[in-house]
Amino acid sequence: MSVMVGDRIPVWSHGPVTPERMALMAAILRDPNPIHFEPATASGNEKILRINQGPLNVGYVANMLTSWAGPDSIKRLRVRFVANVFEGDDVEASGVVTAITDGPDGALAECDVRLVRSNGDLVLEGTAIIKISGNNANR
Amino acid sequence: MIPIEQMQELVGYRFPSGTYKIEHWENYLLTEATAGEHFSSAYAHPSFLFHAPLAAVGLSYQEIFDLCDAESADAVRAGEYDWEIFRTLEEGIQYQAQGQILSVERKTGKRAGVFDAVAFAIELSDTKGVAARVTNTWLFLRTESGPGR
Repeated sequence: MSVMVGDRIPVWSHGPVTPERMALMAAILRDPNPIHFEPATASGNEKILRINQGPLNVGYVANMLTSWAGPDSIKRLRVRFVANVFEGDDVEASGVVTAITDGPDGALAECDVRLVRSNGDLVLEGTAIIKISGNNANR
Repeated sequence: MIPIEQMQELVGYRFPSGTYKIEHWENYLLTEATAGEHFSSAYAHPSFLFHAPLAAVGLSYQEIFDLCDAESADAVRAGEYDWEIFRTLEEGIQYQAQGQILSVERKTGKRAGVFDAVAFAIELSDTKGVAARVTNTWLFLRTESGPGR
């Protein structure tokens, strides 16, 4: 894989986010928070949308990175949560290479990463360090 | 609202040490939940770095909520995750875990109001040494009328 500073990581898109996947994640995590799986209504019968789990939102970014560089490529992933993803949302993970460095096992790409909702709202942002296979990195 | 001084007594709290092995079925299902691609190898989905360390130290979400005096299950938010991976986690490997609470800070946000940011770190080790270290920050929303300890 040839990688250069400024390269954009192929976008990873998903949607719509479904309550079924949230419920599956809640069961795996044994997460008792009902905001992820229980339908609710506010006063006036307004439907309250279920909120996607944080580890799922990070998982979308991880999916983008492993699709790009391989299942064992992530060496570090740091994210800060900014906003929620709700059932019915479409999401898009994206990233850009900001630096190429040398690691003990070859070249590493430092990347800025983010996840946005279909309306453009930022959900999370952060940085990742990715192992580049084949050392085919161009500084 | 619980006094911040009481919350800060949690700093240095060591989680019980324990072990965790990622099974193929849960790796498959978690990957399915993320809508991710199923790996042909035994590599675990990266989101296990959220689940496996907590499961390894034997703490349920509810126990952490109780430890940090959460006012309710829906008064807890994700803050930041920092996952350092020295060897990609794999199915079928017994990982040993140890960790502790690093810091507690009381802050005020425009939307969230008053909250306590609780940061904790857990290391997962295999026979070669530390395989991964996670440092996660959870936010515990506080209200004036919320229960104190």
